[in-house]
Amino acid sequence: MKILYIGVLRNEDQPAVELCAERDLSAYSRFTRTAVSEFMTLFSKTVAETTKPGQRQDVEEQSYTFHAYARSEGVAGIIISDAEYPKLVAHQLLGKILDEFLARYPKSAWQTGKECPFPALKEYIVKYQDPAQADSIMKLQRELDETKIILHKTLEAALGRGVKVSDLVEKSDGLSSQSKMFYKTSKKQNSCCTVM
Amino acid sequence: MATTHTIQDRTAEFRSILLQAQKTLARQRRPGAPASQPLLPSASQNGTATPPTRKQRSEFARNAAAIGRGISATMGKLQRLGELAKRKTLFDDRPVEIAELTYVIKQDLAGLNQQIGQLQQLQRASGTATAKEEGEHNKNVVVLLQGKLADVSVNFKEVLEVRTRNIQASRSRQDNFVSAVGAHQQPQQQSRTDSPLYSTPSSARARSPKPPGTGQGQQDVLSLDNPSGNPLYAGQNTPQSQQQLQLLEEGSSTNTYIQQRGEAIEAIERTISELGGIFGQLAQMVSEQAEQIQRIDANTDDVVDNVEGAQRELMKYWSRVQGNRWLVAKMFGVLMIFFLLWVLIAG
Repeated sequence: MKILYIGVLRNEDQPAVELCAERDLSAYSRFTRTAVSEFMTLFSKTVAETTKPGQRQDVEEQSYTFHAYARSEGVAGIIISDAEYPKLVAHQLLGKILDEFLARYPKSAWQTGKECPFPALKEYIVKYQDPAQADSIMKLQRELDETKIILHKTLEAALGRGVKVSDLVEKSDGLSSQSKMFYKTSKKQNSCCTVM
Repeated sequence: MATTHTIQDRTAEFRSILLQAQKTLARQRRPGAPASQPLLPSASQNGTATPPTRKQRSEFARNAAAIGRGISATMGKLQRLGELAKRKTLFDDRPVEIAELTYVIKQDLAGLNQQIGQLQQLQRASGTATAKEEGEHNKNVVVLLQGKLADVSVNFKEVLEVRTRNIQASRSRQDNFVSAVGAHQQPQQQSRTDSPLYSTPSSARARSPKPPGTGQGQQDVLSLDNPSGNPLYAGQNTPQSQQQLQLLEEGSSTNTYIQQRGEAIEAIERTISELGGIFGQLAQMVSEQAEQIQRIDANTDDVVDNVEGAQRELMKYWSRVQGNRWLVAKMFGVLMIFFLLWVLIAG
């Protein structure tokens, strides 16, 4: 499950302009990297152009999935990932990134189509490579599942404990009756043979 | 109420008993003894010497009997009304019959009340002329009848309350049907609430295809309503539904995303509640085991006590044995002497 590209594009006018982007091209050999990078940019522009404002979209192309989210202000966020990446996490990430981007750069800054560097993208692309770690909902779910497993084990251990405790009960019952017999016998010994 | 649960017509038995009683009365009256059964109306009607007091008593008895009959008839009607009021179906409600019965019962109750009032007056008027026991008996009879009438009226009120509650409940259920869905379901609803017995114009359309399937009862009405309702829906409301579909389409992408998030969160909620349940089970098991552990504790305490006691006894024994060495030696010495003696004597 990998994210290959995160980008923010302006899709108000028809040829969409890439405002900032981050790529993770470690999977490709050095020679193909430039080609892949261009392909990514091109495709993200196409997808951004087809996404209407206020709409979320998932496009599948060969083995990649493009997650797009267009804001009504005129910018769209694109994430390119492989097919396994959960859509929910991708869209959550898109929402977050776009919020931060819009908070940082007012509309005038990117109106012209100038490049707006957004270093936070780098951190995000690294952090969200493993969605289970980064996404809060998935993290919660995972921790809860782990806790559930631990509790099941505890329950089984408690059952075993119960068995042992009942064993102990029986043994202590036997011990108690035997000691009682011992006491009685010794008392009898004392009272019986007074002659000697 | 329990006494008049089953209203059987036992007038024939009554008449035969009366005849027998007449004969015994006639035999009794010939020696001139006063009437011991003044309440048998036909006995006194037979024209034997009827002093005015007896006539009054018999009149009293007649009225009392009539009132008793009236009360039992009213109770029968009230039972029927109660059964009708308890039916909670939306379909087979018979308001006409219920209203009729209510009216009749009210009239009966008023009439009976009046009759009892008359009877009471009669009883008071005749109070001076009759013997003491008969006067008391008449008073008791009046009180009994009044009590029965009061029971009947109380039951009547309860039945009316039940009826009003059911009406409210059925009305609220109807409201649920009507308000929750749009216009295209109302024609369905109307033909559904009409019982097959009631002929109204709206159900005529539902009933025309009914004759082929009359044997199946309520389900038919419901299943036939759908085809009768659907052409209505299809004809009138397609422009509306088209608009709705369009709206749905546009919102669907955000909808699905939000829905998915909601589902994920619901899954988390479920897991958390499961965890809570597991914790509860664990706590329960541990508390059960705690009791057993207490038993073990008690047992070990017993063991300690017993062993200590046994040790004490053994110490006592040992000290005795210790001290008793001289005695033991002496006893052995005595035994040896006897043994030697025996050997000597034997030898």
